[in-house]
Amino acid sequence: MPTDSNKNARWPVSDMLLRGTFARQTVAERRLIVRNKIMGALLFVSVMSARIHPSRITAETALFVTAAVCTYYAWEKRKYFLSLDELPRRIEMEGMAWAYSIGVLAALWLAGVGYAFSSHWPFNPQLLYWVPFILLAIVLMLVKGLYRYVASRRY
Amino acid sequence: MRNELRVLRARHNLTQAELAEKLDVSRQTINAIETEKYDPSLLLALKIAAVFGQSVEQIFFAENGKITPLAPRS
Repeated sequence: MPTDSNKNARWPVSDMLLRGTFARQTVAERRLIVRNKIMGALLFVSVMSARIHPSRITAETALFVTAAVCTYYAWEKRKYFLSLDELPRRIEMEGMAWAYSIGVLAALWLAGVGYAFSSHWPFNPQLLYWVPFILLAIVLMLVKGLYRYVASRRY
Repeated sequence: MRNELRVLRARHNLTQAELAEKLDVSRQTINAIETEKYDPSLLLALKIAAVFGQSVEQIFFAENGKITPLAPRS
C-alpha cells in the first residue's frame, strides 16, 4: 500500500515555534521565512545604529524602518495566510482568536499594573510608554505560537 | 464523519503527498482527513470525490448509521 507514516505527518516543531510558518515546503512558506530574516536584519541594524550613534537622523530612521517593517510584515503575513489550505488556515484563525482573547485580558492587566505603579509607587514614567506594548506583543506571540503548536498536534 | 479515503488512495496507488498535490492541499490535511480527525469542507470533499470519480456520499458518511430520508409530500 503506498501509504505514508502517520509519525511524519505532523508539521515540524521548529518551523511552527521559531519561524511562524507551518513548514518550509511551499513557495509561500520559504518566501515568508526569507523576508522575515531580511526584515529582522534591517530592524536590528537601524535600531542598533540609533543606539550606537544617537542623533535625530538615526532615531527618525529607526522609527521609519520599524514602521515600514511592521507594515510589510503584516502584508507578507496576509499573503502567507491566503496561501494556506483549509486545515492550517483554520488552525491559524483559531490561534488569532485565542491571541486576541488573551490579548484583551493581558492589555487590561498591563493597564492595571501600569496604573498601580504610576499612582502608588515611585516609577520611571518613561518606561510606561513602551514596556506594556513590548510585554503585550510577547504575550500575544507566545499565545498564538503555542496555540498553533498544540492545535497542529491535535490533527 | 467517517470516510473511505485511505482505501481509495491505496486502490489508486497514490501516496498522501501525491493526493495532496492533486488537491492543492498539504499532506497533513490529507492525513487528518484519513485519520478522521478533521472533516473537510464541502468544496474539498467534492474535489476528493472528483479525483476518485465517485460521489461524495460514497466516500464520506455519517458515523451513526443511515439517516432516514424524508418521504415526498403528496
